[in-house]
Amino acid sequence: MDTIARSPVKLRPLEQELQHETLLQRTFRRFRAHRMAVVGVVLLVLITTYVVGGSFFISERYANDTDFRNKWAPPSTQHPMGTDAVGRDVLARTIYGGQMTLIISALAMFVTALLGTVLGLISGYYGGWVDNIIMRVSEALLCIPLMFLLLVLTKFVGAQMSDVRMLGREFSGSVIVVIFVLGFTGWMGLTRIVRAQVLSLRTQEFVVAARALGARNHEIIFRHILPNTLAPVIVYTTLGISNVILLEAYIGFLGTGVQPPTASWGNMIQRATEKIDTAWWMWFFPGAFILLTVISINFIGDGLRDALDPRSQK
Amino acid sequence: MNNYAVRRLLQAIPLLFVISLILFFLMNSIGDPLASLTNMPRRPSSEQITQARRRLGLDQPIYMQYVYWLVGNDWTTIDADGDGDREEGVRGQRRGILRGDLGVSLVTQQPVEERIIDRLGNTMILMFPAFVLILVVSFALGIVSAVRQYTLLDDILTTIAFLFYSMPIFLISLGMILLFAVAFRNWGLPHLPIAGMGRPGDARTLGTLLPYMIMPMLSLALVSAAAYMRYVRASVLEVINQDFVRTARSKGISGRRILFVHVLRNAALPLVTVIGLDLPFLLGGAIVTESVFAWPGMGMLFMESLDRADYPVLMAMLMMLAVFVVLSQFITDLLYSVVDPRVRLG
Repeated sequence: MDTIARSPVKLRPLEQELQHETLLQRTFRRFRAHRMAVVGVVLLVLITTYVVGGSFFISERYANDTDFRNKWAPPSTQHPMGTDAVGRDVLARTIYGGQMTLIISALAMFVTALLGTVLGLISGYYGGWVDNIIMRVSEALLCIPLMFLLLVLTKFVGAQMSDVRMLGREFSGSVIVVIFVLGFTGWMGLTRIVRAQVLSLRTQEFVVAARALGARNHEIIFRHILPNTLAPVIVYTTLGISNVILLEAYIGFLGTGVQPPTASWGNMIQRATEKIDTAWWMWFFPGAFILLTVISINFIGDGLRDALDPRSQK
Repeated sequence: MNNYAVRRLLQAIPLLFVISLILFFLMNSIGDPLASLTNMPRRPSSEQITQARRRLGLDQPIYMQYVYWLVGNDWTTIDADGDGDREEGVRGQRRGILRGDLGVSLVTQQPVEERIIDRLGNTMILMFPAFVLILVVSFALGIVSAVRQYTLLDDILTTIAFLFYSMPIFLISLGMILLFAVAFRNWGLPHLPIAGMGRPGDARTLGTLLPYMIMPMLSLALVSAAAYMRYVRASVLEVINQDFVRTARSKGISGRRILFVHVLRNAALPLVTVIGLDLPFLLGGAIVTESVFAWPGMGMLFMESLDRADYPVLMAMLMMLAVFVVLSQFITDLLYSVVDPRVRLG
């Protein structure tokens, strides 16, 4: 408990005090000093390279190609990560499944961030009945544990979707469903954070001054209030991505997520429990990719949180 | 204080009403509950299916179905034989959820209560020990890690916590199966069973149940324990650095007494809240764990009912969860104000 004795106040050297540093520069400097965050970035770049680069060597058709004479095959030189329940190559599917998982989680989080921020801004700034409705709906949604809500919603929308063609590739329509369901169920926490920020910012002098100068509501919201709420939004969104990856994996595993033959890291594990005592490669490789990605994003999120913390003196 | 409690309880009513409305309308579009009938060996004719639909009231407009679900249909006449018009003088049997009737499963025709109660018991058998384990492990390791901040031990503990915290539940479950069930068997060691709750026909005692419980319980507990350990560590560190701890120290109170009397008492408060509020959400993890280990609990029942669009069962389970969440929020709030005299509820 020697931390008690240490004085918390540290004065910075004068020259550093005088040097002007923009917020972006300071954030970047602090982020770089966070060792694990840098490890996270490197790890994430490596995973992305694997997932994107791999598609130059292996075609998606090969990843979705079934071979019933060769199912449940253990790792070999021909299939370095073995084959799955219908004889598809696991290595190829970790590449295309990874693309799917990363795209889904990034887009879902984008939807969440947009929805959460906009609703939070409206709710906090305008107050009144709009605020009331948004808050009551978010309370209601927060009362249903997310996994249950996701399963019901994916089942609800998933049934009616047909396949989608995009960028010359064919996707199961369930991909779109998963993106939107994950995006539309995560906004509540963010809305509450942004709303609380807006409530405290709204009465501060610079906002009052802007209003006195005749700024209109949307100018005040987007030019003055929004930039001041961005730090928590960025941190929440980053850490949220790792959460979304896990949730996508769970619903894929339970069979209501992305539908095969389109691969995702989650649905690759779906049938692993059938041969639980022999076919370890079915779940080990996609599971390891999920774990590494989530770890790297959590590291980055932690680093960003420390770097953006306004109370920190570093 | 009493006013506050009453007001909170009254606020819960419209909240639960909104939840039930949202859920009911979602439920009614997840699929056809009678679809499983068409896959049976003696396939019923389409007339028989239409009749069944009318008998079950599934031909009614959705808002009427909701009203029946909410307050029952014993106040009105129903189409009991499914011929397309309502019988004179034949009244419905359902009493509605507000009068404690959760309805009848569309698939097995059992009352929903019966379907749920068995499974709820099975889930609680897992949940309760898992929850105790979570509390013990996270508090013990979190405190050790905070007191020994920046030592090798702290580094190791926080790294392990970070690893488990980032791990999908099924990875822990499947990894444990590979080690404790498969590898141990191959090495000729005593090994754990992979799935279920015991051999059929065996009497269920703690002794026979325990081997089946260990792995699902651990995989439920480890992820949450890792998350809470991080909380415990952070909140103990925050308290340790406050003035009153320094004062206590300067008065010559022993380190152990400071830790258990002064630090823990203050650090535990926010933690109890966080953990109390999270309790219902542990059940989300139970869906995955139960389906890996084929544990016949609430999670499995939920997945089975979802597959067959058995909406009375799904609705009952989700509403139970929502009530559970609302109640645990309420109780946590009240407890908090009782335990911490600085909190005033108004």
